[in-house]
Amino acid sequence: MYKGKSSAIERVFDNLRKNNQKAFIPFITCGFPTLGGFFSLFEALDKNGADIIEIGIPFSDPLADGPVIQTTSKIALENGINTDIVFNSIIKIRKSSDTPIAIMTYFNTIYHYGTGRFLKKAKRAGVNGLIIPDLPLEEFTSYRSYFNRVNIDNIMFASLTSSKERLSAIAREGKGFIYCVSVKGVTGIRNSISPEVIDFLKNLKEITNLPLALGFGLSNREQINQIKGYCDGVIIGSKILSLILEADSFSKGIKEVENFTSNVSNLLKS
Amino acid sequence: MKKDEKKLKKANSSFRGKEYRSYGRNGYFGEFGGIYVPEILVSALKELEKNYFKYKKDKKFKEELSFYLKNYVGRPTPLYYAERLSNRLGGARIYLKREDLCHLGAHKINNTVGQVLLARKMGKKFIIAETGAGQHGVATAAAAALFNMSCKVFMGSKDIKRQSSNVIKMKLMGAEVIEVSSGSKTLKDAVNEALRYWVSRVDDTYYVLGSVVGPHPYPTMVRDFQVIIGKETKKQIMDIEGRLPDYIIACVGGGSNSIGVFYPFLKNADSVKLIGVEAGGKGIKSKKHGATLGYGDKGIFHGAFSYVLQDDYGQIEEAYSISAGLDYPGVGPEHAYLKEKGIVKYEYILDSEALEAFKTLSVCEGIIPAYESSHALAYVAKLAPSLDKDKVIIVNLSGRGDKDIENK
Repeated sequence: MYKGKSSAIERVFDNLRKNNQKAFIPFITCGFPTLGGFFSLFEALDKNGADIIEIGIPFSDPLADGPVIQTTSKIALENGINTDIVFNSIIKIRKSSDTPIAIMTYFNTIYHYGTGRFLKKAKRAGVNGLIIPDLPLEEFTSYRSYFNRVNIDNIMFASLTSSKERLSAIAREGKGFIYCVSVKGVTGIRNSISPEVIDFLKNLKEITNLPLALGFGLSNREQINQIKGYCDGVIIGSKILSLILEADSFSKGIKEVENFTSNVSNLLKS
Repeated sequence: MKKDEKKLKKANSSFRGKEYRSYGRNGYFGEFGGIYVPEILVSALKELEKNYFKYKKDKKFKEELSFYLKNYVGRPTPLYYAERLSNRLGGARIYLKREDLCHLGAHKINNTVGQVLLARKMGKKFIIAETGAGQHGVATAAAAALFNMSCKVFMGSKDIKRQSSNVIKMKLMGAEVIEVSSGSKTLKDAVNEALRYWVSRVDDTYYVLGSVVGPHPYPTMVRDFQVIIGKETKKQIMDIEGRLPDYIIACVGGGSNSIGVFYPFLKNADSVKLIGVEAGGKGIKSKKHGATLGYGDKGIFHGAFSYVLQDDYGQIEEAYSISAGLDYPGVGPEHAYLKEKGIVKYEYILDSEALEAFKTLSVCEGIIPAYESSHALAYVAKLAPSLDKDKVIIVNLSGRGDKDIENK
């Protein structure tokens, strides 16, 4: 349950809730399209209303991701990005921004680095939360103590297929917010929202006080208008990354990301 | 293993309710195994686990399965004394467990008949599978045809080119072959893509995994479907020799044929030496190999904690072997456990040595082995001459080599 001292991520939601506003949580892959380009992207998001920024450490076999994040991960790895470079990049970002940062990566990246060592380094770099798509409840419990030791939020997933008992357990174990997956599927752009998502969010609201952020498949205004009344935040990754992938030039892409970010942010703040 | 025990104890104590307790007991081999998968797949895996353990004990299911194993697969397969090979190597007596005589020419069908039968019992309408060389894809396509189910097989575009005859076979049996062009375009990416597809269709789709890898319950279930190899072997060698063998040798990619033949002998591991043979490819130093247990590290891959070929930052590396079935950077978690406990010994064989054994068996016995099985045979070629004539070696001849002649 939502108890104890709230974390930096939870405080973002607390403040927004007072004004009935929702959080915008964009996702970008560290090292995409280049390391320099990643810093520019981060700044574009940060300056245009992102409330929390999710940074991906690229992994060779991203099971939960669709074609866009597979592509950005591959490009980042080809650019030589590794876990240490990601930490150093966040240290650099922290010199000019205190926007909460959550790292998204697959568990092997963390385990191989050493779970304790990874969490300590992440904390020292200024990371506030961790999102690990392939570490469900059953496995997380064995590593829980590492998270408690450094006070980094373990952001857990809730899916349309999770049973009520599981959702309660997820709400007990999770911190920061609950990452609600809006589709049966992997990350990537969809144009609509399934009606069962609203019931799913309503059910979750009854189970937990933790903020609910909806992600996977979100990309447009209609979707956001449909769901924003039922959740506390929106996570968008593939759409933002595809703006860069599809742009004629990086500078044009950045411009589009800036516009997109401020539009989504305004929508969520109104 | 202090860490194992600590982790397991911790994991079990923090599970809430009966569901989690039983999971903790069944899903791990020491610290290995588990379900490192996206949340959306957990419920599908629990459903599969529940149904599998229910039907495993179901009399009718067992009868149906043995009917098809006998009349469709062609079991029991012979345990054949390879006299000319034994004489030529000049040492121990060598027996071949003839899984190459199974329907479609490999052990893979033991598993696919079992899983597709289970899928039908569970009321699933669609079957999906991954394949590397195409053997598991062909075996799944056949089982799906047998039980009149729709079947999609995910296959890397590189493998589609390398194994075109298996693609033709799958299509002929009514399966749809889906080309995977992500990542390295081989088996590991085919598994990724099958899992991604499964995530989007968990309600009506059954995923037939081809080896003892992946999240629980696959490593346990696939092993159980392959254990028939070892059970038959044990009975046959007792009938022929009146005693247990001194050695059992099998190749290890993901590890399903080897665990199948080893499993009934694990309790005899004091007297029966169990040896798994991995792909040494072009040599360990060349980094072009598939010796995951020998030269990989612990890690999480395709939903399980096991050994993995990976770089300094935990990125999965590509495996290499002349044999497409051993060309996989992961390995079943139960093998990882058996290695750690020292119950099974794992060795490796180079491409060149496997090719030599491929020719030797063909010439000596008129049996053309698969490149995969040739790795086990090559190890025997090294071992047998050093042993006395009263020693008995059993090799699991997991598949026949027609596919390898065609794709040279």
